[in-house]
Amino acid sequence: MLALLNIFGIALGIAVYLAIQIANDSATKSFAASVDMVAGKAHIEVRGDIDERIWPEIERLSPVSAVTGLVEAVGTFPDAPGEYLRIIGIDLISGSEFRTFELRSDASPIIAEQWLSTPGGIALSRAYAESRGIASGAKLALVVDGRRVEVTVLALIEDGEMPVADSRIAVMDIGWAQELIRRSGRMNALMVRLHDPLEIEAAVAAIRPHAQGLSVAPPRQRSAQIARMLGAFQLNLTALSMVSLLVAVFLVFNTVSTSVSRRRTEIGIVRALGVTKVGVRAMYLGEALLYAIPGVLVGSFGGIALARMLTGAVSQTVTSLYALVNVERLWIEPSVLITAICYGIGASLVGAWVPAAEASRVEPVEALRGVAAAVREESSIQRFWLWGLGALAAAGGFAFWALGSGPAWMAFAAAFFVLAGFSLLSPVMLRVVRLLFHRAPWLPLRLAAERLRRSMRRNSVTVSALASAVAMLVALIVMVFSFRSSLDAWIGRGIVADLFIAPAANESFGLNSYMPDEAVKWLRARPEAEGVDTFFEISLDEGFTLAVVDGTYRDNLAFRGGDGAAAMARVFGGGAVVVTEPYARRHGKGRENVSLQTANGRVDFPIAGVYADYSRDRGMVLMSAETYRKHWGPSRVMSAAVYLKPGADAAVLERDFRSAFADAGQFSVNTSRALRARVLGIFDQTFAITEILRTVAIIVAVAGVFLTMSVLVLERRREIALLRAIGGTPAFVGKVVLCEAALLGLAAAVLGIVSGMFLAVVLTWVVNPAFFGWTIGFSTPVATIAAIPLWLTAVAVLAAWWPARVAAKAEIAGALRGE
Amino acid sequence: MMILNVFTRMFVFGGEPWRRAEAGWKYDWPRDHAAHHDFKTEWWYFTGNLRATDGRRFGYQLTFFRQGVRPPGSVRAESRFVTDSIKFGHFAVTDVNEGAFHFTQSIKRGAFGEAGFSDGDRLAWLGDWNLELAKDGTFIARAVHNGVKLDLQLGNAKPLVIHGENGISVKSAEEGHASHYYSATRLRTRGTLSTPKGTFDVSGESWFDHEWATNQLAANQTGWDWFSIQFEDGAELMIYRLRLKDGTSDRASSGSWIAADGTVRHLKHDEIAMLPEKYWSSKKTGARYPVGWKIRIESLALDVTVRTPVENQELALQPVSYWEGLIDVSGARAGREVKGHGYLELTGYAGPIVGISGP
Repeated sequence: MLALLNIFGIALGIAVYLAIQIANDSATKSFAASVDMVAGKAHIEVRGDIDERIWPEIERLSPVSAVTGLVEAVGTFPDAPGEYLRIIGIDLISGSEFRTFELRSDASPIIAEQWLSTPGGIALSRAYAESRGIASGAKLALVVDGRRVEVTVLALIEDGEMPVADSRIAVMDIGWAQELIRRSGRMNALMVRLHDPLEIEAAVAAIRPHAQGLSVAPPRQRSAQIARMLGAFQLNLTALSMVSLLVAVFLVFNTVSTSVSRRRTEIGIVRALGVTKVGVRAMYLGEALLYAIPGVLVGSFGGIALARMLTGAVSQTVTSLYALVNVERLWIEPSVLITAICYGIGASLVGAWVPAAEASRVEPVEALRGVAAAVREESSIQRFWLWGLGALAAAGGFAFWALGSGPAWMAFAAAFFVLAGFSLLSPVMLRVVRLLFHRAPWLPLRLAAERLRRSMRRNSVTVSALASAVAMLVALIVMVFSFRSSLDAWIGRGIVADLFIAPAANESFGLNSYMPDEAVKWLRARPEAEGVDTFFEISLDEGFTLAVVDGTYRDNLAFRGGDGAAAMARVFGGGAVVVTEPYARRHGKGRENVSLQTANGRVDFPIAGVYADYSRDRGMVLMSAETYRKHWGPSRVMSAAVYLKPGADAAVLERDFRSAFADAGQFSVNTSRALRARVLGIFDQTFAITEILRTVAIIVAVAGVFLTMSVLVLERRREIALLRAIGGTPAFVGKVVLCEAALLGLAAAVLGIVSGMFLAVVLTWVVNPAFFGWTIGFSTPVATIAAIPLWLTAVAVLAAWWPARVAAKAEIAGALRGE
Repeated sequence: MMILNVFTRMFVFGGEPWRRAEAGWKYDWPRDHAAHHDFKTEWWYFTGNLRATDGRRFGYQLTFFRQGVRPPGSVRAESRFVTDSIKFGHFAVTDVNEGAFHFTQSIKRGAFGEAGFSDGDRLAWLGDWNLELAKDGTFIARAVHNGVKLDLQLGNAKPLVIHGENGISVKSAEEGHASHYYSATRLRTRGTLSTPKGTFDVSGESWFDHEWATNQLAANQTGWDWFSIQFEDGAELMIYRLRLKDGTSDRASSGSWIAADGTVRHLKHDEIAMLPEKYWSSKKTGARYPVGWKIRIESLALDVTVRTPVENQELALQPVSYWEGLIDVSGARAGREVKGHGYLELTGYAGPIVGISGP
């Protein structure tokens, strides 16, 4: 039984850790693989809104051996919401040296003539075509940049030197791709191969003058950039998953302690037979290791299974926050697996260390007498509260440091010390509970409270384990709630236009699609439109986003200090920019300008103000369309906000717009209320992963209660038998055990809530600013939190039910034989 | 000559948007030196025997192909990448003394004007490969790849020769497979040639073929063997054999005999006997090429043996590999000993030719 608990604890701990690592890894690797597939064998990638005429210029540079272009877009299926294809226009001719896949039609190589002469001719990945039952020659309706288009399947994409990483890919000829997305003259990327692949830096320097305002770098760098961008997000998840390992340590501690105390006599005999202290310690550590092995095994399989559930949530988050990514398979790196196994074994050893040390201190004589142990126990935890306070002080120090100038991981050190500190305070908590209940009028409760003091140490660990799980739960709930409340206030202020119109694809697959100019013109020409603001954004190499707005300021940005209206006047009239808080925190510390690479070289844009924004954690710089056009060239539109004259009907405008531009599905048209709901919906999607973690936290809490109660009852067999012997009825004994369980549950819940609140404070006020740069107002869902002690106590009682019954009915004589 | 449709399978469209080669074509130069965009395929094909001033011997092949993908009158597209034709070329140099064979292929879309046909003096260009027709009728051909560089002026020594009958060269016993085809059978050639062994002033004789067609070859043909021979006595011979899937040769196989005075005699299938005698196997592609031949044309009292000075003259390329190389010819005609040199092309030996197996 103890062995099982031990195994379960380790399994749970590493399963959660492993699952999160694999899910994170899979998201990053899938992105990298999709980069590799299109960037193929390019040495350098030029990215941005490219004027195609630089292609021959770059081709003529001496380090360059070959150049090919890419045109990219996202197409959605109007009749299948949520489905998309990443459309990539390639040049089969110049691209032959770059390609990592093959195009085939009916098992023979692609027919070049048909490929080059068929408007809207595409090739689909075999996996996609087969899974959707699409045959060669099929015609598909797609929506691209808000327009409905028809494409014809000409060929299938087959694995070449690399497997096709992303099945949601449609390749077409570069010329017909430009026609399809109506972007003649423009490209998204130029891939460059060099004569000497080792001379990348020199080649980048040679290319740069021809690629003003564009990113010029090896394609790997883009994967690395995404990995960096995801770093903060993934570190957060990893830190949370570490909590489950901490819980595992507590569980192991508990089970090994129990085993030690049950076997003090045996240990004494073994010691008397000549086994050294080191030998006894080694025995217990060895036993812990033995249990760690099945625990690690079960945990690994469980972790992989859990990862399968998590990848969906992680890729959703990554797509809505960072970049379109489609995780089709799990990437299980041996190194991750090995790390998880090491953590599992490490947790076992750490958990078993102190009980094993205690076992080694058992004196042969003392053990045979069977006394003095409890006294010793009591004294050794006297000073725990001191350590606890010390840990909390350390947490405070780290938090302060992280908020100041220290490295961001300090924030996690702070979080760790919060958990550790409160865990060490569990004896204090137990004493408080005892004081509250030891004069209770009901005898079983009084007796239970009194008994909390017996084996205080193990009870403390039980409470610590439960409290850690509860703390994780509380911290998650509070953080998400706080974030959501701040977001709610932010969108309440920011989303004020009457109608928001954007290509539907932008909502689900990231901002990749554009509005046709006619649609914007149509909106501006409507008599009931008081104003139309348009918006588009570009991801810059430097790691933040450039947002371009055409319109007028309507007091819808929450500026942090300063006069917002004056700042925006400078944006629209004076060529200045405003930046978001995350930008200011990350890039703009103490700066007055934003320096950007424009089509005409580097230009410094003065920063007119800083405003709150929760949409981009990398930071965003906002400028007017006029400024953009002056420095880069024609601007585009990803979404439009329409402000109506008083009395005008948004529904009428929406209906007219839809009949003028769309059959269903091409545009999403939202009222401000609908858009607010959608934004919150996207937020919830983003935090889908925390939902799963919350579920895991609850499982850990419930399982923890059950396990510790079982251990508790098992360990108290002798005492319970004694109670029976002096006249307690089985029912009475059962009540005492249940009361004890309830008290432990209560203590853990209260301690967990307190530590969870502190943890939430650290997460929202320290981790978030340090990693994301967001300022979040702290708010607590009081009812949800208040309910935790109620259900946790109830769960504890339920968990103890069966062990209590077993204990009450136990045969007295056997249990008392040693007495 | 006939690396035709190598990149495309032939599609017979319902409305047949491409013009077909039909009897009665009236040739007119220099007009017909330029591209014929309403036909689907077209090439300008130079081969030649050259000698350097120090006596080194070279052979070369320089070919410009136009493969139409969209017939004239197709929907206009805004994108420069939507192209009407694929432009590609083959360039090979045989260094007889070194026993070396340099070859390469270039394919371009021409989106940025880097490849195209018939613009002023330029008949065809493909990156830095170039074919010009000077005002005096001299061809100027240039090509370069990987340290091998050719720069030649080629002047007509004899009148242009129209192959086939009534303006078309029939390519299959089946209906509708034919091309328009003429040659400059003897071009006095001089210029410079660079190889990894050095740069040489060279001179010699070249052969130029210009052919255009739509849907030229039939589905039952697997490849062809084609010869162009320049005899020392001033006569030339062009013959080809189209091989069928059943191993026989197509009755449309034919040729032309050009006497020293320039008179042309059309040779029919039954007049020509071609027997492979010697084979060379490629390590790269595994193909077994007949590189030594016996040719007998009784109506001309011609009986010659064909040998190559360099066996490996295979252009191992994607998607089609073939053998095209310098040959030496010796034998008898009308009882008198004759010698000559020329080029031999062997296709369809290295796997099926993409493009020849039509529907």
